[in-house]
Amino acid sequence: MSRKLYKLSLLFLAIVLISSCKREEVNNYNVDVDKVEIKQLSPEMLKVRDYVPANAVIAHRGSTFWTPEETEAAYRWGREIGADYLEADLQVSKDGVVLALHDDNLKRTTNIENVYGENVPATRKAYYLGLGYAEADADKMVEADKKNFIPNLPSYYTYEELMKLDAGTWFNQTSIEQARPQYAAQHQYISTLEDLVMYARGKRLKRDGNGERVFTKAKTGKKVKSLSGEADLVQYTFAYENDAQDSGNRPGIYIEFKEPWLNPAGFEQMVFDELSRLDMNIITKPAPANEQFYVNGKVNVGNTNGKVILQTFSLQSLGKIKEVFKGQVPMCFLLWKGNGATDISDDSPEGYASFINLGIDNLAHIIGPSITGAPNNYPELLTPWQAHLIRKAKMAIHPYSFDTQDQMKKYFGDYNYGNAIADLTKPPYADAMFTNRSEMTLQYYIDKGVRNANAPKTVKNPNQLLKELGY
Amino acid sequence: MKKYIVLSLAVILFAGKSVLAQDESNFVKHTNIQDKDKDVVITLGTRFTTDAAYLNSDFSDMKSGAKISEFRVRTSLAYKKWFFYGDFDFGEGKFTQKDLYVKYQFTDADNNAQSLKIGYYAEPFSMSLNTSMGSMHFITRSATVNALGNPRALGITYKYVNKYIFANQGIFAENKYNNQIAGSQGVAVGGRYLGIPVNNENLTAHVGASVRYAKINTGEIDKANQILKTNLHVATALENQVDKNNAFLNANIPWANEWYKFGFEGLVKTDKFFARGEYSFDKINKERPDQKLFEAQLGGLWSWTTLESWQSGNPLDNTNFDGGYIELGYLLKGNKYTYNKEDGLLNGISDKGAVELVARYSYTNLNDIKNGDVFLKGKNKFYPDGVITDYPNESTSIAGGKLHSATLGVNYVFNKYAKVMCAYTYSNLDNPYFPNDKNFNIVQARFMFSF
Repeated sequence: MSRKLYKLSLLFLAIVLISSCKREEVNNYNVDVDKVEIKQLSPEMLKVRDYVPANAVIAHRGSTFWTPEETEAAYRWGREIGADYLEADLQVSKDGVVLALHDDNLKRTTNIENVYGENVPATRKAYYLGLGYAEADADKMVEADKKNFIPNLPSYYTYEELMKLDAGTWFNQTSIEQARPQYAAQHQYISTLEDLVMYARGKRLKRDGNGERVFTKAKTGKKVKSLSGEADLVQYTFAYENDAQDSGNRPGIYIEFKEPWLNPAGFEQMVFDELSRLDMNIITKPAPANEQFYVNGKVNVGNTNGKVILQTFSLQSLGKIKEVFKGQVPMCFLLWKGNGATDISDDSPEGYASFINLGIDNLAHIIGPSITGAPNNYPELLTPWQAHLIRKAKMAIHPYSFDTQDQMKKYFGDYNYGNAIADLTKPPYADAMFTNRSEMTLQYYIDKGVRNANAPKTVKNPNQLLKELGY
Repeated sequence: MKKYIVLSLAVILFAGKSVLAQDESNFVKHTNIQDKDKDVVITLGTRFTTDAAYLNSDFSDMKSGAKISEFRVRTSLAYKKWFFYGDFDFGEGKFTQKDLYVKYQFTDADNNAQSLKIGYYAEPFSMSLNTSMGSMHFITRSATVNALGNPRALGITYKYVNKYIFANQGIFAENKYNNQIAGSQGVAVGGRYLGIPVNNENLTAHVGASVRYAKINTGEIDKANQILKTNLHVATALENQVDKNNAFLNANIPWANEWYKFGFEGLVKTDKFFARGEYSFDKINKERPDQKLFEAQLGGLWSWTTLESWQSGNPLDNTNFDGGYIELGYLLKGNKYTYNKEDGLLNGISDKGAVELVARYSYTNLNDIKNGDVFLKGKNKFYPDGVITDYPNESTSIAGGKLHSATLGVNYVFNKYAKVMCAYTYSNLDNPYFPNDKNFNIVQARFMFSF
C-alpha cells in the first residue's frame, strides 16, 4: 500500500506541477470585459435612445474655437454651420433665471473683475427697489447679501447684474487668431436657457439703439433658494427677433446639469417647467412621431422628440433627473476619470461597468466618455473594450470633446483598418461627437458618407459664416 | 558548559554551509549533542518545505506555480530547567524571524507543570497558530486564523498546566523591532484557557476560550497637521502557500485604538479521528483627534463650519470581524493521533507509512458593512443610506471580504523525515472590491522534509 501511495502522491504532485505551469492568461481587459455583469436598456428606453439621430454633431458650447463660448455668437454660428445640437451647461442666477453657462467662476469668461470686483453689485439696492421693496427693506436685504456673499459665483448675482457683464471680449484676448472686433463691440451676454432655445429656433436677441438686449422683468411672488440664500423669483421677458441669417436649420439642445449643490433645490423640476414653457418638453408636448431629423437639406432635430438631450456628470443629478424626467427624455451620463466627487476612479472593466449600470439604473440612454488627444488631452475613457461594454448595454456613445480629425478617425474606427480586436464590438465607437470644431466633424461625417441623406451635404466656410453673421 | 555553547555555534555554522551546498548533498543532518552528565542537550534541526499549487478564479489572474515556502533552521538548548529555542526561516529567499525564546520550566508541589517564557513566539490565543507548521494536518492554516490571529510577538508568558486545566497568558509588545514609522509601541495582553475533562490513551477532549486586548499606538504622522494616524491592517491570502496575494481578504482600519479579541475552541481526538474548531470575534474601537482635524480643514470656501457638522459628515464607528473553522481528520493508516498536553494541541503525524484524510470548513468575515450602505465599484466607495450622491457623508463600512473555504486533503508520511500533503480547496468570496471573483479553486501539494 505504501508503494502505491508513494506513487499516487508523486502522480498528484506531478499533476499539480504541470497544471501550475499552464500559462494562465494575465488579466486582459479585452477578455475580462465579457465576464463582468452589465445591464441593458429596456425596450422602452431603446425607443427614447433612438429619438437621437445617428452620427449627430454636438456643437460644444456652441463653439469654443471660433467664438466666445455659450454666447449669442457661438450659438448662431453652431446653428448655421449645421450642427445637430447646441450644447450648454445649466446654472441659475440669484433670482432664478436658468443660465446657459459653464464656469462656476465668472472670472474666465467675463469682465466681472472690472465691473464688480469682489463686492456685491452697487446696483443691488436699486434692483430691490425696482421689485417694489421699501428703501429700509432694500437696505436690510443688501446688508444680508453682503454678509453671505461669495464673489464670482453666478448664483450670487441677479440676471440683471449678469447682463452687465461682457462675455465676449475675453475671447479676443485669449484666442488671438480667432479674435473678431465685433465680439467686443457687440455686447455678448451670458446666455439663458431661453436664449439657447430661441437661437436654435432661428432667432436672435432683439437689441435697443444702444445694442443692449430688450427685456422687462416682474416679481412673481415666488421665492427661489440657491447657494446665495432665498430670493425673489423674477420673471424676465426677453425680446427676440427673427435672425436674418437664419438658413432654416433647427438644431436640438443638449443641456448639462451640474452638481445639485450649485443650484437651487428642485432645479431639475425648474428646468422641466422651463422646457415646458418653451415648448421643448416632449413629456408635456410630444413632437409628431413622423417628424424627420433632416428636411430638405436642413437640420430639423429641434422639431423632433430628440429636440432635448439631458446630460450630467453628477451622480446626484442623475438620480434627480430620473425622478423628474422618468427616462422619457434622452439622457447622457458623462464620464470623467479622476478622484473628484463625480469622477470614475476605477476604470477597470468592473468599475466601468458599475458606472454604466448606474446610468441604466437611473434611466440614462447614452454614455458620454471623455477621449484623449490634443489639445485637451482628457483622460481616455473610450478604449475599444469600454465601447464594447457600452454597446453591450445597448446605450449610445457620445464622446467628448473632438478637436481634430485624428480623434474623429480614431474613435470612428478608421485606424482599425477593418481589423477586429479580440471579440470586441466593431467600431465606430461613437454615435455622436461633442465637438469644438463642428465644421470639421460635419465634413468628416459627410466624407465618410454616414450622414442622413436629407442632412445638409455641404459645410460652410466657418470664417465666411462668421462674416455673414456679422462678426 | 562553555565548550558546548561553542560547539553548538560551530554546528550552526556548519549547518549554514550545508545549506549552501544543499543541491549537491543531503539535507542538513539532525544533530543532538549532550554532555556527559546529560544535563545539557543541544539540538539542531532543519525543515524544508516546497509547495506547488494551481489556482483558478472566476475573474482575476492567479499565480499558480511552485515555491520554496520555508527553509527553517532551528536550534535548541536544554539545561536543567532552562530551555532555549531559536528558529529562523530563509524560505522565499528572505530571512524571517521565527521563534526565539528562553523558557524556565518547573513544577509545583502538586507536580503541576508551570513555565515562564520570554522572547518572540506565538501569542497564547489560537490553537492553530500555536501549532507548528510541521505538525499541521493541512497545507495551510485556515484563512480566518491567518487573518485574525496574532502569529508571533515579543513578550513574556506564564503557563500553568495540570490534569484538567491549561492556562497560558502573557503580555506582548506591538512591534518586535520597534521600527514603526511613528508612535511609541502599544501593548497586548492575552491568554488561552482550556478545560480538559478527558485525556486518556484513547480519547481526549478539551474546550477553551481565549481573550486578547491590544492597545494600538503606532502609525503614521500626518506632517501637515502633526497628527498621529493609527491604522490596523488585517489581511491574508487564500488558503494556499503559493499565491500570497492578500488583496481578496484585506482590510485597513484607520484610527484603530483598541483591539479586543474573543476566541472559543474545542477539540476531540480518538486514536483514528479528530475534530477541532475555533471561533474568533474581533472588536476594534477607534479614536480620532476630531478637534485637530476639524481645525486643519478650516479656511477654505467650503469648510465645515462647526465641529459637529464635520463629525456628522465624517462619522467614526467601531469595526467588528469574526471567523472560525472546523477541521476533521481520519487516520487511514498509522499508529494513532496524539495530544500534546503541555501545549493543549494535537500533534502531527510522523509514523512511517501513515495516511490520513482531512477536511476543513472555514469562514472569515472581514466585511463590516453598515445597514443600507451601497458600494459603487467605479468609485471603490461606500455610500451611506443607499443613496449614491456627489458628496456623501463618509461611510463607516469596511469591506475586507468574506470567505467561505472547504478543503479536502490527504497526507502521507514517508518516514519521520518526509511527508507529502495534497489538497483541494474551494473558496467562495464576497468582497465588493472584487465583484466578479466569487469562486476559487486551488489544487495544491506539499513536500516537507524535517531533520
